[in-house]
Amino acid sequence: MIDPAEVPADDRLLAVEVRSRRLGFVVFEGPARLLDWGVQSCSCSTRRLHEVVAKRVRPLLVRYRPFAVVMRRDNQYSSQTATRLRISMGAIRREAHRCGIEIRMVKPKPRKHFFVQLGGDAKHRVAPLIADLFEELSLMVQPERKAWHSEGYHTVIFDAAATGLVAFADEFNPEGVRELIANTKSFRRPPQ
Amino acid sequence: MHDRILTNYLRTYRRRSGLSQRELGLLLGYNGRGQVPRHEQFATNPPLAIALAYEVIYRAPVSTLFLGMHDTLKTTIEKRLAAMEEDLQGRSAKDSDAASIARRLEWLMERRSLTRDDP
Repeated sequence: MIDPAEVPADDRLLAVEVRSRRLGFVVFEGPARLLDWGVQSCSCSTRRLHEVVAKRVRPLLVRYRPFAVVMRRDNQYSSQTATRLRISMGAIRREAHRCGIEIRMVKPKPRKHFFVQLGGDAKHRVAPLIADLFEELSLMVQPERKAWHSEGYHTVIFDAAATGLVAFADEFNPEGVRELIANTKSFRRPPQ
Repeated sequence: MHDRILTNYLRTYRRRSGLSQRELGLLLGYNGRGQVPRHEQFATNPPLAIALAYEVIYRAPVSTLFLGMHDTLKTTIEKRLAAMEEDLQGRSAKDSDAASIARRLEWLMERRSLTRDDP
């Protein structure tokens, strides 16, 4: 599964997706390989949120020592939730700074543009695209939800993976992402 | 801060397999759950029997599972071998064990050529 010859030199990236009561994370080693992924709960009072988020993120930074942490810049939530998001993102930023790791924010527009090009114009269409690229995540893909259903538990992981992938495509390793997409069966165009 | 390669990739392999830490612990013959997380968090290195058990479970060579550790050891050993070769070459040919020194130098050269052929 991991070929020693393929191990990249400085390609480890932590992508984080923040929600008001949980964090989704994906650790990449190069754009084509996932090292770890998961959801961390930070369901606590707003007063303790900073401390809890720091406690959740610190082991990831220490264990994987990524060269950068990427997050989505904008979350359009209600004003009350935005406070929690701001606190969570501040805590992640602070922990990364403490570990000497740079933080990159991915703007929503290029992120959306990237997946529209691949045929994913909505969140429930992006998740299967990500699962096609990384089969480890395929079991967690959820069907499209109704507007009155709450978001699937694992959706944050796909959002984090999407952010990480766009960060590689835009900045860190565009060639690697092109190669990954070209080598994925479902993205190959049929010969004309 | 940034290390080139992780000490081991045990957690990645386990996540891909879908096994839980408890299930993996049972496969490895541990009673408790404590040892597997320690290996995955690089807190302790598993003993040889357990490292080989990981190889059997994941069907991946130990050197791949413990890639970072393998890389570090390789660098250290190669340095030591180079120092040993330099030391042997510096010894006088009149030494009583000249034949033995020549054999060791020959082996070191053979080994180096084999290393070069490795992919």
